Amino acid sequence: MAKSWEQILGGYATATLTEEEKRQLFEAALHDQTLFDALANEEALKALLADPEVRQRIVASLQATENPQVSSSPQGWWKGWFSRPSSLAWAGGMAAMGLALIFGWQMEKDWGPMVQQELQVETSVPEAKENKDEVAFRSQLSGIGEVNEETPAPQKKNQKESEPVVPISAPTPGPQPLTIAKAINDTDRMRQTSAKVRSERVSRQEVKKERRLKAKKPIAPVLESRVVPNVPEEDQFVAPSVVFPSTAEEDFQQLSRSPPFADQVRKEDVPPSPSARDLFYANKSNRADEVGKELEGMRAQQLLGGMSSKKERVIKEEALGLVEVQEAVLDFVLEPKRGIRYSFVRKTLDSKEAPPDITQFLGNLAELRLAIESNVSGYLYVLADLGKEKWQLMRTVSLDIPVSSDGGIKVMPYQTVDFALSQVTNALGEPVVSSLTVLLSSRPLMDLGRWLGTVVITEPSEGRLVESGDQGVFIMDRKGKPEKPLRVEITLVN
Amino acid sequence: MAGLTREEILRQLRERILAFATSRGSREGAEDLTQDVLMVLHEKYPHVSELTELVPLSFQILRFKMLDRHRKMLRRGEYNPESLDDQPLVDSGDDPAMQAEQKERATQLIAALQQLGERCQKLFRLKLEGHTFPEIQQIVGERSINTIYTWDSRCRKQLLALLGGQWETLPLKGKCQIANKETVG
Repeated sequence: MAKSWEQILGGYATATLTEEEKRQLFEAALHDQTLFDALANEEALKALLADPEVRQRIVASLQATENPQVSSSPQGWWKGWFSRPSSLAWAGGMAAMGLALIFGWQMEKDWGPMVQQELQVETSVPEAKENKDEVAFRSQLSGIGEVNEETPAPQKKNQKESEPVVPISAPTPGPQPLTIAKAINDTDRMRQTSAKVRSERVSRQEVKKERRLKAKKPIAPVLESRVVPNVPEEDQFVAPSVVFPSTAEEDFQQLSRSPPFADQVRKEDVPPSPSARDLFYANKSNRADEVGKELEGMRAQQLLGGMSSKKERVIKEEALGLVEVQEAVLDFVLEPKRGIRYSFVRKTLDSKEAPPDITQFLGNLAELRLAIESNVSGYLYVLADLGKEKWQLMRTVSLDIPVSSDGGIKVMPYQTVDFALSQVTNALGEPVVSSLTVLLSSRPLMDLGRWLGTVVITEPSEGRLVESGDQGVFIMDRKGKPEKPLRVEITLVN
Repeated sequence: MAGLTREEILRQLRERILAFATSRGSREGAEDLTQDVLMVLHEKYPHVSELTELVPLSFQILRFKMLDRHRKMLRRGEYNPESLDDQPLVDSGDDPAMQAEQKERATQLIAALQQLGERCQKLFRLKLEGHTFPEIQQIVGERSINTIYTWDSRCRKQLLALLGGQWETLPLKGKCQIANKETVG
């Protein structure tokens, strides 16, 4: 036996060889008796592993062995990674940083325009304040004499600057909004800084010269109009509507603007009722949908949490309504509804062709296969009605699929089972039966004849969803009782 | 080789099956067994013509036929002459003894797998999860697929050794050998 064939022998029993590997292996086995014997011996293991229950049992035991260690599978790797304290600390740090960034971004979004306005005010206010500063400076000079301007104490200077202004403007402080108070504080801080810089870098003569020149220049007309005599200097910034009407309006618009999620809520209509195909594959994606929904719900709550106006309340209610609809759909989906998908495929040497419309198919029917897939595990029976209450149980193409004693094919969810239509065709490839009956049951139907009578045929198909498409025909049994098998008639001839 | 017809494949299969069956018993019995397998292939599976389907199908039929022959020989008392009344009645349905045996074999296999190394266990798990060798190569992150083949081959040998050199221990085999010895002797 060649070395290379011996190496891929291990994939035969587990049925994990690629088509190319299989072809090479079997070709070699026809010429190599040792390889043939080895493959024949592997058949016992293959038969054992063909049982899905045994397979699952072995996988579960191997996973249980691997779990205590750090597994290489993505899920196991994550579990292992999160179990380490250092990883947890790192994740916590990253989460905190992320939260801080989000908070900062939110703050910037909320307060950014206002701060911008204040900064704009600051750029224009120092000029208006120049005269007052000069007065204060002169009073200091007269009171103290020589002032060492090179090493000023900022706090003292602040006091000295503000004191002379008081008698002029006669302030009447009152409760101010937080934003305005912040703006005033910022203005004071800016004023202190500018005074400090000036005193540090510019000599006294230069300051005087500069002030004289500035005195000759007219004060900015905008500021003149804004400054109201005998009104405290801080009060000039109290009414933003007067000073910055357009910006305040923008702010209001920004606050009243719906968040991106609300836009989505409005744009998206109520989700359409799920199709048979969606329901068929719903069992497959239950968990992913659940997690996605949870995240969406959390995001919605975060975004909607800060709103208070009527408009946002309406949007919030709409969103909650949508969540309820989603929950209803999810409830429907979480309770697995059985259904089958069937299609007709033509087996060629290379690949499977698209399923043809069987009733309009004019070719050789014996070349086709009926592919049936169920979304739940159970027992599948495909029967051809031969007339006179005689039924023929169709065999699967693959022999790996376990069969119960009454001929029920044990299928796993989404396992495709192929049936050669040559079993129900004559020598010319024409069908000898008009239709095929498919029964899907959760357990073996020991009394198969009970479900094949004409009474059952006339059973109303209420609560069934049928959808035809490129992938075949989907039939979902929404109201069927689990103890009764799902019965589907597949017409071969119109 | 790619264009092998069904007849050519069956002809070669006949030779291989006959040689395999002869190595497991008498020449006469082997010929009967080979004929049985080919009859099933001819009568029940005339539509199967592809090499990749026909060869594994023949292995499966061969195994069933061999098990069937063992059962028949047991019933006839060829291994260990016993009263027919002591033997259970034949049931065409699921054989509880076979089911129990399969369960037992699965347990033995799991126990043997637990004794393998981490790499072997992982390889076996990935294979059972349906991954092909090229996919396993990507998952493991190995550059060469030959490395995966070598690992798998070694792991398979280890597992086979842990199971006593055979995947399936025919319960009748021991008795068969003893009976043959007695007959010969």
